[in-house]
Amino acid sequence: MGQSRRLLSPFRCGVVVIRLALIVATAAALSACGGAGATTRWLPAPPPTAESASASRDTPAFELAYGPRSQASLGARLPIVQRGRRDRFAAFGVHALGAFENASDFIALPLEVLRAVYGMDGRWLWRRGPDTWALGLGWGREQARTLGEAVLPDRPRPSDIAFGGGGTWLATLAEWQHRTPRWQSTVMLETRWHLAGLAARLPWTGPVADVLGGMAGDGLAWAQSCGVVLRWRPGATWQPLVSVHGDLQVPVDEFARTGWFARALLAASRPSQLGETMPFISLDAGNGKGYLINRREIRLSLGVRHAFF
Amino acid sequence: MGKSARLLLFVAACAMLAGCDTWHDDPPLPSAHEDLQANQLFRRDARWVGGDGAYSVALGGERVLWLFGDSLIARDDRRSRSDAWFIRNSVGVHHGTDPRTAAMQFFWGQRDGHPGSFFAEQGSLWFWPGGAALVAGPEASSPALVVFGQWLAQPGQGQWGFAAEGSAAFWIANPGEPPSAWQPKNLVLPDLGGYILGTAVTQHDGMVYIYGSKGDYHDYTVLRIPSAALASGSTSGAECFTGGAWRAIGSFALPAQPLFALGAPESSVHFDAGRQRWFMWQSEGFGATTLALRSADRPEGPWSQPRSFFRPVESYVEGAFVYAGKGHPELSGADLWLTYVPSAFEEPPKWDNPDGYFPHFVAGSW
Repeated sequence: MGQSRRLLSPFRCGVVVIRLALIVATAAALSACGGAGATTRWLPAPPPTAESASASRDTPAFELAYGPRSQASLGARLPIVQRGRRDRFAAFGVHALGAFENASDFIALPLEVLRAVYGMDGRWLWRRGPDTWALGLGWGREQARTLGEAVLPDRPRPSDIAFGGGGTWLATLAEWQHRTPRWQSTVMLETRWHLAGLAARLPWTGPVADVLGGMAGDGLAWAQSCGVVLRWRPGATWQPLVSVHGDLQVPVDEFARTGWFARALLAASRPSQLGETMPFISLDAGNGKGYLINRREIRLSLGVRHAFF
Repeated sequence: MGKSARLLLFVAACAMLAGCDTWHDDPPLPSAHEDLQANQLFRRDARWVGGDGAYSVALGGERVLWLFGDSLIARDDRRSRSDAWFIRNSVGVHHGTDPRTAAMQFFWGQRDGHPGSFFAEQGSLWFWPGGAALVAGPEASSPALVVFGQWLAQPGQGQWGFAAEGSAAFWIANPGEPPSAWQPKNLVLPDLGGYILGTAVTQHDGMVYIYGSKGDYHDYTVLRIPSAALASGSTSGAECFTGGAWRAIGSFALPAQPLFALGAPESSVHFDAGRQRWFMWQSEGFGATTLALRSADRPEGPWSQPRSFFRPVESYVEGAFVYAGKGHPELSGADLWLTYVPSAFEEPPKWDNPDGYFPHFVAGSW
C-alpha cells in the first residue's frame, strides 16, 4: 500500500495517445473494404477468427460446468453484416452473455450471482493462403448482480476490485488463424480499456475520470487477455481441441490488487448444422469473475458447451 | 493496402494490444480499513439514529464537537428509524479523543414540542453545518466557537430539489459549556460571488482558513480571517486568495478565482506534521465514491489532484451513494481517523439498511 503499482516492463507503456492513433488507423482500415467486387452479406457466418472454443469465460455460448460449484452461461454471437471480398472483408456483430454462478451453494443450478456481458465489435479480416488475420474494435459492458435473495457473497476488503470487475470498455482485438486440412490454430489478443482507466490517462478527461468510473461501474482500469485454440480435424464428426486462455485485470483503484485468470480447456467438438457442441474438462486458476472476482481459486470442472453458428 | 503496410499495421496493433499502465512516483498514500468498533460511537444513543456531514473540531480538554447535517431522532428508545423525526442538523460532544472508547452525547433543538434542528430554521431556510473553528483572541479569557455552513432552500421536488442560498456562520461565546447552554449568534460572512463557505476549515499562524465551493462542479476558494477577529465575532481583516495572491475583501472583482475545479462538496484540511504537508481529505467521484486526499505545501495551495486510497465497503457495488469523506486529526488511537457516510439514491432512502446513514470510521496509517 502506498507505493506505485509495479508491473512487468512490457506492460508499462502508457503512451495512450499513440494507441488512440492506432485505433483510429484500425477504424480507417475497417472502413476500407469497399471498392470493386465488394459484396454485402447480412446475417453472415461469424468471423472465422472469433473462436467459439475459446477458454475465456466471456465466450458467448451456452455452457454448463460443474466443479466444485456450478457455472452456466447463456450467450450467443450474432453477426450482423459483412462487406468486402472473399480475401478481405469487414464484419460487424453483436454478442451477449449471461453467466450464472453459485458463490457457496453446491447445487447443480447456479442461482446466486449473475454477470451480464454484452457488446458489439467490428473486425477487418484478410486471408492469405492458410492464414486469416483480423484486427478489430469493440465496445462492451459488464455488470455484476446478485440473484433473488442472495447478498454480496464476500465482504469487500480494502485491496479488492470494485463492482465485480465490471464496467464499460472499448476493446482492441487482434486475431490470427492458421488452417490446414487437419489442423486449425487460432491466437486471440484483446485489450479492454475501461472508461475510467482510459479517461485517467488523457489530460482533458483526467479530472473527471473518478466520476465517470463511478457512474459506469468501472472496477477495472484495463484488462489484457490472450487465448490460443488448437483443433485437430481428423474428420467431419469429432474435433479434439485444446484451448488455453489467460487474462490480467488491472483495477481502477490504485490500492487494489491486480487480478489474473488462467484456464485450460480440453474438449471434443462436434460440429453440426446448429453450431458445435463440445463436452469438456477445464482447469482454471486465479481470480473469479463478477462478484467472485476477488476470490482466487483453482477449479477442475466438467461441462458441455454449445455455440450456435 | 500493400503487404508491407498490412504487416506494419498488424505489428502496430500488437504493440497497441500489449497493455498499458501508468508509472508514477507520487508521495505515498495511507493504508486504511474500516473500524467497526469506532463506528459504535454514533450508534449507542437512545434517540439519535442517523445523520450525515460529521465535521469535527476539538473544544479543548479532550472534548470533541461533531456537527451533523440531516439527522434522524427516534420517537422513543425503540430507536425506530421508520417514524423518526427528520431534522436538518444536530451536534454531538464526546469526552476522550479515541473514538473506540469515547462516549458521545447528542444534542438537537425543539420545535413545536418535538425534536427540531439544533441551529434553528429561519423561515423556509435551514442550516447545514460545515467546518468549525475554536478561536481565541489575545484578550479573550475563553475561546469562542465559530460554526460555518450554508443556508438552504427547497425550490425543487425530492431528494435533490434543494439549493444553497448562501454562506452562514454562527458565533458561540461559551463552547466550554454543554451545547444545550449555547446561544448561537449569526455572523455575516463576506460575499465571494457565489461561493459557499465552510466546505472545510483549518487554522494556521493566527488565521482561520475557510474553504468554500461554488456550483455543481465545486470550484474551490479559500478565505482567511484573523483568529482574534473571529474570537470577538468579527470578520475584519478577511482576505481571499485569488489571482495567486491574498487580497483584502473588496479589493478584487467578484467572483474570486478558484483554487481548483471539481472539488468535493465536503472536505477537511489539516497540516500533517509527519509528512510536512497540508492534506485535504474528501470523497472522490460521485455515487460509489472513494476516500481521497489532495496535498499542498501551503493551505492556499497549489493543491494536487485527488488520489484515492480507500474504497468504502458500500462503494463496491453499482448504484451506491457514499459521500461526506473527511479527516479528524483531533482524534487519537490511529495515525488518522476519517469518516464517510453511506446512503442511497432511492427516495425515500433505504432505512432498513442498518449501516446506512451513519458516519463510518476508517482508520488510516502511514
